Amino acid sequence: MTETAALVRLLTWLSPAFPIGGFAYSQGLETAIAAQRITTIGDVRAWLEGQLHAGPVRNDAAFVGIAARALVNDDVDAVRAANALALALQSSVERDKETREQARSFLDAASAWPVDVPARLAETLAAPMALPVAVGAMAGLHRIDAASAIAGFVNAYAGQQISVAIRLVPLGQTEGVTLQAALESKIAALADWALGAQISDIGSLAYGTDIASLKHEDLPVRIFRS
Amino acid sequence: MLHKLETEETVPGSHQRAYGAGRIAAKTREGVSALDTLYQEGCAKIRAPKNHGDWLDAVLINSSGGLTGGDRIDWTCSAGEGAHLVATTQACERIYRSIGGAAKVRTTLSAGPRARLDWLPQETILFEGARLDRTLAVDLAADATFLGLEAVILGREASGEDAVSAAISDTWHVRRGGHLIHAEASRLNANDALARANIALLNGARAYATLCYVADDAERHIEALKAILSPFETAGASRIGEKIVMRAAAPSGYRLRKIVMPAIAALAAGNAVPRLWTL
Repeated sequence: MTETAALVRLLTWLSPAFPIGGFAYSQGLETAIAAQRITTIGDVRAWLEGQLHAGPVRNDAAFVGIAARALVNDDVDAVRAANALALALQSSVERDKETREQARSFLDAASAWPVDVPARLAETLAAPMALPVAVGAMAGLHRIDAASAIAGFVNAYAGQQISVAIRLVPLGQTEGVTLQAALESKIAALADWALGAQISDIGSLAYGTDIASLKHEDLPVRIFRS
Repeated sequence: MLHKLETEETVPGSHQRAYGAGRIAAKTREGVSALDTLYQEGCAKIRAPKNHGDWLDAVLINSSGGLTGGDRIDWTCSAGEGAHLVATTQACERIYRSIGGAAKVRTTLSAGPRARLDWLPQETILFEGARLDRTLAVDLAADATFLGLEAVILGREASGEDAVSAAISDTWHVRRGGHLIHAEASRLNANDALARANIALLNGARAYATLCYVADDAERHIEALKAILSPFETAGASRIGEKIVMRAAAPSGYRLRKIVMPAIAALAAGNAVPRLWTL
């Protein structure tokens, strides 16, 4: 596969049109907006800067890279260990479902691109998976550059969060793209860090996000599934 | 962005470093949990005060009065088949300013078939310049029950201190029937003003806690726990199968206790709550 073909494949996989239902999840942002703790574009920007600094997406970015590198080295055990940790780190039932169900949808949809999957890896991919590990593993399997996969994953995450804010705060479309542009250097910085991250680098301290995620299932009215 | 907490000792130590290791195991005897084995070394002491219940209480004591860079303490608690062990600490663990390296706390817990282990230490207080590297490894039989808590206070409240230069790495691995059911990887670097203030992160909280309950009857407890937490905007809980995770954040250790105490009471087995955690 040429580099251009690999890029096209990655762009397809991480596009909001790829059928994994990413638009349905807010990762706690809906709770923060419902509680009126986030009411302006500035608040949304702060929320996302916090996420990119030490929120769950920091770990997810690292997991994409760890899984992608592991498969390039045919290290299925490392993929399994990363996946077990990524699932065990989930603290809310909605986030747990979010990562598992999206991973399943992603792997199903990605099967439209035929590839040889070694038996042990096939067994791993058939078990419950966390989304970033599934994305990283497929990138590695298809020899898609890990740096691009991580950057694309984090960028898609930011785009989804912004689309939640556009709908709920609400923000205008122009404000949404202004925000995406403003976050670009931080998205790139996280992706650069994640490219070299190991399991021992996994870590965050995101009580604001986690508590918002835990409380989401208790909201009397909710549009998003997390 | 966060960086890996430096744990290597960067300053060769000339002063005496504290070391302690304490191990306690409970077994059942005539239907009641009793002391099986007890071992203590260095600054680690363990008391097993009598109670009026069928569980064994263990009170862990760090006789060095606090930890600093290069100090290390290892705790091992186990509940044998059918036994119930409730472990707490005699006092809040104080982590003092480090002049090199992190203070290390290694806790290893296990519970055998139908056993229960409650790990309910008092809060850990990080002083200005503190560096703590802590791990909690829990190995449960497939039908064992676990209730665990770690609560952290950033700075001495009486001094109005935020301990913004304190750092902590806190890692948990909870296995049940050999399966990794829960993990925590919390990292706070020194002088990370963004992490301290940001709405998605600590949001100004000076105290925070995570509580984890793993049991066959988790489903029976989640609604009562949610009812306790619902008045608090900065506390929440959820159940994923056999595990419940609760997180709480607060402006002070006192306000955190107001959230954590009733939560512990709701998840404890009857009256098996360390007296320090009762209202």
